[in-house]
Amino acid sequence: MTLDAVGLEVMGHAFASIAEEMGLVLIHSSVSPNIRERRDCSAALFDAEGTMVAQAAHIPVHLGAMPESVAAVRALDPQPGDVFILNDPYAGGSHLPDITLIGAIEVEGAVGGYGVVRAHHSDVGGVQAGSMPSGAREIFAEGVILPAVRLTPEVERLLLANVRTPDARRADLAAQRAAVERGADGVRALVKRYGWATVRDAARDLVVYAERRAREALRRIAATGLAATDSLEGDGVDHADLAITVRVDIRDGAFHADFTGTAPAARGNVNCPLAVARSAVLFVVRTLLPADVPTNGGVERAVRVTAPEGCLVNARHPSAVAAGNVETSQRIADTVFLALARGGVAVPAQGQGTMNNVTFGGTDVSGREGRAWTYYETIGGGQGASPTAPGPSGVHVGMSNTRNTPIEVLELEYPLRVRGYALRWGSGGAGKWAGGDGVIREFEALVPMEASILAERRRHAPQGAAGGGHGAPGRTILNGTPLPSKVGTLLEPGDVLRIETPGGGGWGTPG
Amino acid sequence: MAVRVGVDVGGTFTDLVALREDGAIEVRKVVTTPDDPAVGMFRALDALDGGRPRPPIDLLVHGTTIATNALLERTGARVVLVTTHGFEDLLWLRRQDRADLYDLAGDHPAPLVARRCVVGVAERMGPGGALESLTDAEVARVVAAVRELEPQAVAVAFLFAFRYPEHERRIAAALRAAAPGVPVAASHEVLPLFREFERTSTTVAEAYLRPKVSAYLSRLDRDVHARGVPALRIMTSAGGTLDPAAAAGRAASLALSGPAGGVVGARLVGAAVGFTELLALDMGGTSADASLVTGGAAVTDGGGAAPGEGSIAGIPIALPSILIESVSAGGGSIARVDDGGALKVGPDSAGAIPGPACYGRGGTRPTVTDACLVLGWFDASSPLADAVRLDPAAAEGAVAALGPVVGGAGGAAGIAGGIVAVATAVMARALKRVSVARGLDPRRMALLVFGGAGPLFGCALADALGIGSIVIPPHPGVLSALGLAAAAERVDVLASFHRPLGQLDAREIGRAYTSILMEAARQAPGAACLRFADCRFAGQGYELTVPVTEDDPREIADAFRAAHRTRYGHTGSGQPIEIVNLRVVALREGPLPQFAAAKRSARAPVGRRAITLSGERLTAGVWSLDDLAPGVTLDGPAVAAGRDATGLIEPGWRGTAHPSGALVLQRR
Repeated sequence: MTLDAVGLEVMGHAFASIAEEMGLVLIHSSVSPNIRERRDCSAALFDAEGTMVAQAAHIPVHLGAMPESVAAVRALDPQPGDVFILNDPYAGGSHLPDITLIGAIEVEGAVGGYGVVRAHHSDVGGVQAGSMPSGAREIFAEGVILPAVRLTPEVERLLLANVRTPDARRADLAAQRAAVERGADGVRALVKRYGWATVRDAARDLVVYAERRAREALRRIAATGLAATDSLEGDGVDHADLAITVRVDIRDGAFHADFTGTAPAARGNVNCPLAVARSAVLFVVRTLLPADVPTNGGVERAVRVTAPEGCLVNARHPSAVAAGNVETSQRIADTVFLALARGGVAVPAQGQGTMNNVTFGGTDVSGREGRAWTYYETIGGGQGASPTAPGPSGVHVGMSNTRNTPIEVLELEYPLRVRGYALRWGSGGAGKWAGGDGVIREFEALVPMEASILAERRRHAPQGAAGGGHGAPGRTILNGTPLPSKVGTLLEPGDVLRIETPGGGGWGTPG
Repeated sequence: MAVRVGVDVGGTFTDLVALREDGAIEVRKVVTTPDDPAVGMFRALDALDGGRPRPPIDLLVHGTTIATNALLERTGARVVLVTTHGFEDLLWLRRQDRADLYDLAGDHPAPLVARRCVVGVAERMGPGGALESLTDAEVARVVAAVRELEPQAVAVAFLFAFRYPEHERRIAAALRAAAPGVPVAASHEVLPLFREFERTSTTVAEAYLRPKVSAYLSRLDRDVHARGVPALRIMTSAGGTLDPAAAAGRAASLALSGPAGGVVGARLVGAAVGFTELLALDMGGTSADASLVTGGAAVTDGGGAAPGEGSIAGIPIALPSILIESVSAGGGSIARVDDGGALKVGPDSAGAIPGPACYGRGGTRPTVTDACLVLGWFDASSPLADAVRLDPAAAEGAVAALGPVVGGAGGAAGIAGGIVAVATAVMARALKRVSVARGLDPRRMALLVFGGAGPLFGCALADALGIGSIVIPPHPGVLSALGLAAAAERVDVLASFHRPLGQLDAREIGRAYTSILMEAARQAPGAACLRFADCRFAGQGYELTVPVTEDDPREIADAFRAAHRTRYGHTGSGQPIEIVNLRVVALREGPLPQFAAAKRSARAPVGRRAITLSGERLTAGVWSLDDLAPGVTLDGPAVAAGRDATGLIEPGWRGTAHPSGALVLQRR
């Protein structure tokens, strides 16, 4: 390490500011509510070797899977100033709606690092408007696949020809590209001030520092052979449970999660590439570390994730994956937490364990002639109570941390009406500390439209811990009739879709 | 000869600046009286007399923390929220994002209203008007239900009221008629902008603060008049001033009343020395506040620009406010070494009690002030403004105690150097978040440093940000009060508009401003009215505010595209441009302070002293900051010690005393 204590702090702030700024450029100048209102996007800086140096704290499932994106680009002989685009889950992506732009940052004539911006685009084509289809059996049904390629005007035209809402995509991509370029400008400004050697060394030292902090924290937890199994409620094709099994070993400051025993890849789209599983494990590890440890590539050096080839959490092409990124990732995190709890590690009870993905789309015939539209949102729920505090209510838990779409934005821009939006009082599990309550959100269709719901925890309740009660399972109700956890359907004007999200588990015996 | 007085009531001190017509400035500093801030305020005012008859004061401008403290300490009114039925939980749902990404036990602060004090109303507006009409029977039911809850204030916030306020108007009128003594804040009056959570939260904050703020202001107004001061005005978060009656009805707009004065002061001093692009840093006891002046005007945030990001004490308040980025790097911020070996400053602060170790009031943990003393930047032999004597041995002991962990850095001075470097880095990040993060290059700006400790860090911060000019204002320790004394009268009026620019002609644009121009003129008679438009590309969720000098839509489009390119680096992808809101700012500038430097005559240092800078032991000239003769130059290393603040001129910098009393530093 060449940086002293002071330099670490100074440069850590400098890199983090650049990543935060990249995120703000995207949020403030994009057009899709899913990006600008819900902030379903993330930004990070990587060094020339593909190690993450700094991130803006956005969406956990994005950030842990970004190194694969940079690795995919580095294999293509990137030239300084090149900007790449990708969404292929089997070559650096997570699921198709997450489109990642990677800029090779020019510093003194060479590639000095990478600026990475990932955003969930609520339309990448595929069989269903909104590109989160329930029950897709192959990735080809889920949308257009972009292996890592240079983002040329031709590539953009090809992409836009495959989606229902090209104008919105074009505008969001322009904002995303501007965010990537802002990252490059930021790094070059830093180099101008401190010199390239200093900046490069600082990036490396920050990673080493984070790794050291992570290992020190993990060394205080000695636990081996912690095993747990939890399950998904079907894959959208059928509704049989699918087991996720983990064994966790924390030894000598290293965290190893192995998923041997997990179900094979499913026919539906709850599969995920290993990058997503790694994100989920990294998220759990991150919650165990002190708050001031920088989240960068150093942390993941203390973490190893293994899973049999072709299983649910290490799927192979062409398994469908749309729900894997959003639902299976949640269950992986739940399962790892469960294993830790069995080893006596102080972790919270289970939270809602789902993102309650709701997608609508169609052709608006209510005045805006034939305009195709797509809308995507996820809905928060109850957080599990922790050993020292109740679980927060009505929040995103685990691998997501998006915001809601304001009702006024939703109704101004889409043929939907929100009939009610409330906390689901009493849905959190009882306990010494109660679990957080879920959310009720009721949509009325104003025109005919397609709808897709990808959710979990409709059958199996979020578990309480240390004697705490379970959270109430979620419910999806169409015109009063319950629907399964993953379902695609057509809505007619006047149809009412009500989503009740799960409560979190309680902690400790109620007093 | 008339006098304007600015009074800044801070957490520890109440600062008063009297600004005479001839530019002469008088300063008083007394201890704040938290139980009743007016007591300290009048003590300061009485101290101004100093036994001699003073010229009449014709205006007193007040920067108050009463709203801020009520939010921080949760001591506002018992509020009932009246809202659209089916959406009563909105304040608890917030925007669904959790308080902390990785601390799963962390939660947001509770709303300012109790859940049982929310009354749902059978009514509903949608994007095209009424979906469910509001019946007279329902109005009567709601009025009765509200009375039952015995509120001290009521907030009314319905969906889509920013566009269709009729239902809110009827309920508010009925509530006011039924209980004239209970203030009612309606969302279409407080913040007529889309995004229901931010609008509701802001409206509730207004109701929560209004009884306390209006009681304080009306009593203060009376007392001020009783002392022969004919006019009192209150600083708003946006940097303008309101008369007490108007301020009492916009209580939430006073949430940053205190720091706003400093930004106004920074702008005026910048103008006096010829800088219109300024980064300002106010370094006080527990925090440092960074802000921005560009084009000679303070940059504001909030409103439609960044909903949810403007929050005070965890309560989103989306009203126009001066952009302030606070970091915990004040003089009293405590330094520590974390378990990974990194040196940290803050967020813990030694506060006023026990204070830094060198204050000798029982503090033992090393603070930034202790580090500065160890480095010789403060003179241990002269007391601080509050008669506190500095104990260098205590400072050294506290700082040296960090030693074994830091490693490398030699002795107390080495560690102290580390502490000030970390504090500098933290403050530099705040300065970058108000500049770089907004697409503005700090290298094209001057850095204005104020507050008791700010001028010590000017050179280090300028080096970190690549800035070439630094301004140390006259009386840097009381610049906020000076800003208050000189502040403009400012009224912001806003109207939701939402029309595609391409479908408008010049006549329509001109006409659209008529009613808000009239409203602004009504609130601030005789003031100059400036027009602005919040524009965006169709589909975007955030607007950029551009000045509207011509009615021509093409001019507005050009101004917007240029602003968008500057801020975001692109100009969209061919989407049409929309005007979302119209704004009028009515502005009546205060008389410019002349900053006359009547008795400034020092042309030579008053002594020399050993100081430590970047690990080097140097001999610095010591000057009297408040007494520098215009034109005199100070080459670094030099220390300029004033009554309320100390400045540091590092090697490589040269300070020139400006006729205004400011000290302007340039790289040599």
